[in-house]
Amino acid sequence: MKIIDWFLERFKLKTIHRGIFDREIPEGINYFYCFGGVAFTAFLLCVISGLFLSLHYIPSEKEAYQSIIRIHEEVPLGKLIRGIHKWSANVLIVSIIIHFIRVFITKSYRPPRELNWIVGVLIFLLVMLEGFTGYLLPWDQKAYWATVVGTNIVGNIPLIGETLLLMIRGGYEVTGITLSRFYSFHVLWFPLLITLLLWIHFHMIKKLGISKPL
Amino acid sequence: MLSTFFIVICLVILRPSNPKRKEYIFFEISEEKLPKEGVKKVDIKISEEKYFRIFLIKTENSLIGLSPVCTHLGCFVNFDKNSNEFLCPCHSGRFDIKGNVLAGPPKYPLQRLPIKIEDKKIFVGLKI
Repeated sequence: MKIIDWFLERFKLKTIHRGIFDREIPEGINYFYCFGGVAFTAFLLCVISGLFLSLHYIPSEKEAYQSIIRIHEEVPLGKLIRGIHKWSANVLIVSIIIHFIRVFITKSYRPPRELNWIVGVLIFLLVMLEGFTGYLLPWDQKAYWATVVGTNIVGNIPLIGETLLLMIRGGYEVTGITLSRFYSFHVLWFPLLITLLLWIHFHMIKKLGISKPL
Repeated sequence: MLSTFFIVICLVILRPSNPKRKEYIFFEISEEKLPKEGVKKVDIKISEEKYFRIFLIKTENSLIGLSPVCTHLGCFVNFDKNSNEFLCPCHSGRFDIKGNVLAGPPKYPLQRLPIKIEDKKIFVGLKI
């Protein structure tokens, strides 16, 4: 342990550790206050398993489905990692909803934490979009038709609907172009935005503290 | 200011410059798949392991091919034998046996697929 202490002293990690993890917690909080942390853990699991999946997944019209089968049957631990990705995504959405309800019931959205609520709702919307874009990637019949129906809903908006539909699909139909842009959204744009918003979310929690229970 | 500029660039990049609608490709329907009378669900083989489901309707002397895709949002409709109608499971749109709208949110009838006969063989056109 002396070696670890030696390193910690050189890197000045002990003060950083205190800065990150030392928080004042009000009395009387219960387990429902954990669901923000559960959601963040699920998000981290999604990111890590997604990093591994992206090594084997091919976002092209002809190979997407085949590469998913290959992940299941040939890649070592591939099925497990895909399962973790799928189930942690489910846990993520469920725990965000519980967190959302907890904040609402305990009235934690009140000043000075209004902006934190707004940022949280944005994160929730982005996570839903992650779910929607990720659903297309297996490129099977279910994925294809779910995306056709989902994007058709956008197309029904008056006036700007058709332009929006073209922007999302990259053409009149769901094709390989749609697949590659959904892949880009799913693995680059949305995670990047979510990470940024999460930082804002956590920064405000750190500065404002956890709200006192009712 | 900068972020507005960024969003505008994103939207411009996402917009396809020259979107095209797909053309019909014709596939053969084998004799045993044709309905003798009434409605039949038929899987058309597009490629290896890939099938596309359509409805074939035979009434008196006419043969109609209908796309099963609901014109509201794109769910697959089912044929209900009891009421002789097509039912959409998503928002309960109803179509009659020729594809015309009876009730529900759809505004347009089910898409009719072109059918042509060459050398006594029957072909149906699909947009794939």
